[in-house]
Amino acid sequence: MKHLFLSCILLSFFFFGCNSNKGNSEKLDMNQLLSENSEAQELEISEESLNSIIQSLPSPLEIASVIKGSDVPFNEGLLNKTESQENFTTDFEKSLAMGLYSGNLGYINVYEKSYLAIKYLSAIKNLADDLNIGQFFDFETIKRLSENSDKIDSLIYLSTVNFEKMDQFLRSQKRSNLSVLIVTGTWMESLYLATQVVKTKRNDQLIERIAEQKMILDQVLLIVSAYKAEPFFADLLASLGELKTEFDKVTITYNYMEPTTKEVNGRLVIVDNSTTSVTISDEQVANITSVIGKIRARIVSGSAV
Amino acid sequence: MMKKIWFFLLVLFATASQSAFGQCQTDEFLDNCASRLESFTFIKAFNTSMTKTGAEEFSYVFSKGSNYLIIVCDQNNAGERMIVSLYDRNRKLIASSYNPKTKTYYPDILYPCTATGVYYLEAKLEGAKGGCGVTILGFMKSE
Repeated sequence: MKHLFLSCILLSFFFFGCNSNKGNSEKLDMNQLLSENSEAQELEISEESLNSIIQSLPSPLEIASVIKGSDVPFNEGLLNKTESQENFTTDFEKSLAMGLYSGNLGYINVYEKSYLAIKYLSAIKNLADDLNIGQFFDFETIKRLSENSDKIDSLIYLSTVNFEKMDQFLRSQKRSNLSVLIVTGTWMESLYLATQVVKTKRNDQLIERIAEQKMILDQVLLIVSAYKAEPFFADLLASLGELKTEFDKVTITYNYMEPTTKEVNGRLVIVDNSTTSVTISDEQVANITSVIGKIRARIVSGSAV
Repeated sequence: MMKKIWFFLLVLFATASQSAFGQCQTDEFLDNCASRLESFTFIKAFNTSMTKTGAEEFSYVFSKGSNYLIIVCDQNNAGERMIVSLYDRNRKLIASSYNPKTKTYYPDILYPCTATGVYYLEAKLEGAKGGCGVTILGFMKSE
């Protein structure tokens, strides 16, 4: 009986005790981490902070929406060709390529080109299968949704949920390095698409969004640097460093003002008076366009990062 | 006999654990919550599950020129609600889904973003025994 009692206590700890510290974990301070990264040669970043940064990076759909808002027609020629899948041989290359295709998918979905969505989702699924994460794709449902242009919202939702599951699985399997490459590739492709569109037609809102990528780049550098002992990551870091040199010339200022809230039809609506303003010259935009273009060309050719 | 008791206990604990925290982790729960996004585009879902009262924090880069909808999705049990608060880059409180003065729980928060940067979302569970919930983030480009 004593043995049984002890077992009950142990079981209680197992089922109810394992999550008990979750809410008390140390809070991530992104500002502090970013300033430490710029000062330190070697910065140890915890798994928890790393995961938090990966989760915090903006969706490719956001920048794609600004691209669409610039009234520039969809350009299939900007996409990374699905045939280039063969160029990616290692898990690192495949993860980075998955990110590029995800960035493309955001652009495709926002322009509601469902006939292309299935082609790019197939490419992503192939790479995901190679990385043993393809099980998170409900491909039959995705295929059905992509055949009906009215279902684009459902397609976007399902694709995003699938990506979330893949990312969570990779991180739970201690394969965060692959998650880092996927989100980095996604971000790079979004930046590439935005710069190419601006080259076609000047749009101040899109230029401002490009300038704001300075903040995202800092976070991307932080997560990539966590694995810089790996030569692939060290090379990627060097490439991103070229981009940082150009982004360092961009200035972003933040002006804090007290926010207020109001209730509208039962919903809490925030009225924020804080602002950010950016200063970026045409030359800086051109330089960023050139650098991201060169890095992206190296990646898609499979020659280097 | 001993083996049967062991098995019974195992099933009991597993079921209790599942019923308390499993419901919010299902696709059905997420799909139901996400349907409240209406015309907003789904970005992310942040899961929260705890065995006692506490808070979890998530961060996301919000961009100027986008409207964000933060949906608070919990099991709607009195005394076990989930409260979501939004903080800016300097951890200054912007808004909370619960107003203690009026004792109002808001099901969602609309944030038209005017300053690009890192924002922090804190999901806090009221009940002493914890519980679970999902915070859903959607966006829409401002006109």
